[in-house]
Amino acid sequence: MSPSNKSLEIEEIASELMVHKAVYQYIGNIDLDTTDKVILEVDDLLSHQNYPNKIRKKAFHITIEVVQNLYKYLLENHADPSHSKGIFLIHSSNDNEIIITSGNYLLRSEVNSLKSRIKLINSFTSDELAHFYRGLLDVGTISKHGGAGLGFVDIAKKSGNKIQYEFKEVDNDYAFYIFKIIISN
Amino acid sequence: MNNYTLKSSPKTPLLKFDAASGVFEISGRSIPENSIEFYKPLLNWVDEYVKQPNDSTTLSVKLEYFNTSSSKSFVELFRKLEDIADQTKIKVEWYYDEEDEDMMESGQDFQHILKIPLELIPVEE
Repeated sequence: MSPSNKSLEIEEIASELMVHKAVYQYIGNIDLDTTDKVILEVDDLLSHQNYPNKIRKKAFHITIEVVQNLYKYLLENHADPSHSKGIFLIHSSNDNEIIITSGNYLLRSEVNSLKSRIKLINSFTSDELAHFYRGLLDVGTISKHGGAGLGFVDIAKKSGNKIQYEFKEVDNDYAFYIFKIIISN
Repeated sequence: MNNYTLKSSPKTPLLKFDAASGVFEISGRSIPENSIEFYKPLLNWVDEYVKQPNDSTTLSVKLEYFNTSSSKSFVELFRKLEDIADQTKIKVEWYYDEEDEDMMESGQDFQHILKIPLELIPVEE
């Protein structure tokens, strides 16, 4: 499959995810510059909307984790250019709910371990999640690019909702991973 | 020894570490992609400070946002300060917007895993 076909594919996935109009969308290469661009644009967007402070802060916090997770994953896995694109979307139908969606290519060999990790996080009550987070904070190791494995847990903890996910088949080597979290009042 | 001061940027906090007074401050946003790289020079400076600390050491943390990558660097910094708890009167002050429950909970998370006192200080916006 050529890189151009790959590019088309991510657009197709993005359009499926945008049945409802997104209030913010980024579809393209994920590198240091675009990571900064998305974070600053979302900060600006959220500060000009009427969301309650609590939701606005949580949404910005989660945006930072989601976008930096995308970047770190691609950096650590040396994704080839055709697989280094990602999707970041914000949907909101009212001032009391923000939905953040991200998407990226992932090696198929990594799907099961990621699925298990999300299932574990989703199985926790909020108290268990807080306890798990503290344990990771206390003893967790930092990867060479600064990730501590805390990102997902932090997102689940701050949103107060379960992580929604889906893996789409791409080819023999890659899957496409879609991550969704709802932030509500 | 020299003080360690670094201006804030849209993604990194103000760092103001005064060796002579033992008054340290981290304020603003700490959301760099790579916190290890960002905090390494500060942690090296703290390694020197702990060899001959002031009689009292107070670290004020006044953050609007921080990412999980930064939180691990904070733990590393706090651990270095824990090691000198018998040589200096040490305290961490964790300031947070009184409406920001997440920032308060973050302070509580650090309180749980630290062996030095961390005071939670709500601030009216």
